[in-house]
Amino acid sequence: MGRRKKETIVTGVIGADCHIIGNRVLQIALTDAGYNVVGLGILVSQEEFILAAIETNASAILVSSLYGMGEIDCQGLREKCIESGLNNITLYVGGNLGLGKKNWSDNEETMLKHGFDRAFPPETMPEDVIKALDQDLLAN
Amino acid sequence: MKAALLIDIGSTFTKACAIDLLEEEILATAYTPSTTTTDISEGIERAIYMVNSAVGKKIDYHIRLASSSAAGGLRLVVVGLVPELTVKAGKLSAYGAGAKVIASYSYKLTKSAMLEIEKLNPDILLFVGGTDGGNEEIILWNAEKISQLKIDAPTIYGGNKTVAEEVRDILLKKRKDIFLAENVLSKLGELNTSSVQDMIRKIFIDRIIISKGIDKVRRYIDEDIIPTPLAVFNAIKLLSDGTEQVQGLGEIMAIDIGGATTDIYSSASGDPTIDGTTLKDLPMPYHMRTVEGDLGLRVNAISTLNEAILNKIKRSKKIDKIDLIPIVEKLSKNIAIKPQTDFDKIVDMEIAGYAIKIAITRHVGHIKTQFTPVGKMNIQYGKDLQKIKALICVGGIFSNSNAGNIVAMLNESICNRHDPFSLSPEQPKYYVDNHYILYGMGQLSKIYPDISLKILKNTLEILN
Repeated sequence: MGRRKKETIVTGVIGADCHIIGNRVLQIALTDAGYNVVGLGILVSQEEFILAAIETNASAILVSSLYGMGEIDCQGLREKCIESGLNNITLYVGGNLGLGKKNWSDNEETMLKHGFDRAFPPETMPEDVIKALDQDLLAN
Repeated sequence: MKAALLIDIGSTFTKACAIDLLEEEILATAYTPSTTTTDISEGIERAIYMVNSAVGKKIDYHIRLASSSAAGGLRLVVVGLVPELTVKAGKLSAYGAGAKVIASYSYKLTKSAMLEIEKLNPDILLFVGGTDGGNEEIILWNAEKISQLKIDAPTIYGGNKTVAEEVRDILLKKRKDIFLAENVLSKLGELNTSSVQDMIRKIFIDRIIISKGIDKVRRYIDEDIIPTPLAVFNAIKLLSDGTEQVQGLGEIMAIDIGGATTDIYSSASGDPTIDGTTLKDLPMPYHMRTVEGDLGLRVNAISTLNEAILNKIKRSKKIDKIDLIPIVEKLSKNIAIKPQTDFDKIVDMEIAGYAIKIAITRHVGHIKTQFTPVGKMNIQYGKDLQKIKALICVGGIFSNSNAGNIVAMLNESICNRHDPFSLSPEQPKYYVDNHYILYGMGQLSKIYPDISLKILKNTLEILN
């Protein structure tokens, strides 16, 4: 994989969303892949993600959302990260991200505009996320 | 007779208590003004003399123990990283060791923060921050700054273990005393208070009591002296947990209200009691102590009143037309003043009610309701203490007041559901430490737990 050291990843389900199963599967896969995973569970606020990332010196924040409000919940996260000193942190988001939009590419574009480095559609396999992370973190 | 002598040296009073270990009862208690500004021994000898006189003969004590909160108690400053995470974990650890956190700092230490710490001149600096393998940059920055501080206080480091040795070297280079403990928050969600607490206790015994001139007490005792709040905390833990032989009271809370501070203790898991609740925040310790340094009946009477006004706490009908500010100002300047008239007592009770209400609200957890597509969800921050069965009350205000007034004040300040989101006790039984024995039983609990617990259970008076 070529990672220089054991990187820490903060993850959780954002907003008023309680759907944890997909996020748990991802956590297990990330741990198996050698990452140090900090799982924040459900109903996680933007501030909670940021504070956990500061204290644990995380390299990336992976945000999960299933209930359709993900786009609203994620707005401003990148700006808050920068404001909190996490200038270069890698931000991913994945799941069922927005209601009313037919194409995934529209959703993806919106999330990238919000400052996320990558966005993943429903039914993404964990290995795709790990592959992307390995690549992005090595590049940083 | 096989007897124990238990001494407590406070800032205002030196107390002594003699216990018959065979009959498992109190022989006598006494208190006299402390002589910490002249020679601490004078007050101790007077208190012992008073106890012996009350028993009626000179006793050859089987064991003699002591605690102290003299000379400002154990004053500690916390330097950490994120306020809600390691700073909070550091504070909880310090409180649990009987210390008073006089200030706390987060993120990078600034020049003005450094000047403030130098001015405060704490007894111990507790330096935390970063989970294991977590933040290093800010921790090493702060280590440099701490090494430059013009204070003699030893530093305990309980932060990210990856940089522990580097931190030690930075401080040693500037000839600072540094002690390494385990990380208070090695992983998010895993609070580890015991290692830092052991270190605080050791430093208190080895150094602080000497620098404060309290070591003279060693002549009168057979074991190490401990901080008074720790003695009280030990008594609460014993009363809650019980022993193999004697049953405890189960999950309990305690209030200790003094002139300068209000301490709240809880021995309880604090797990959610409301359906559909998910826990957030740092996990709280089962045995937890918080100290409110701005709430008290004398030195801090003004800040207590201000805080009550700020929180819009309703006045009791007895004095709702009276301007309390000048009265409270007088109290805060004359800290040894005792209530003389009925009116004085009403004012004291009113201020106590405010202090207790605010301190309890800060100690217990709260609920936030979140509406989600699957329905209403409750998010719990901190401990749910609604089902606590017993509340132990310590402090002069409780021993010198009429039981009916105390119950009315406590009902109003604790159980009255002004705030539906606060998780404070609903219907506890109130127990009062009328004989000031909690500190003593806490001291004795390490050697004679069964006897201490039996005496506690027999002596605490139930009010409701």
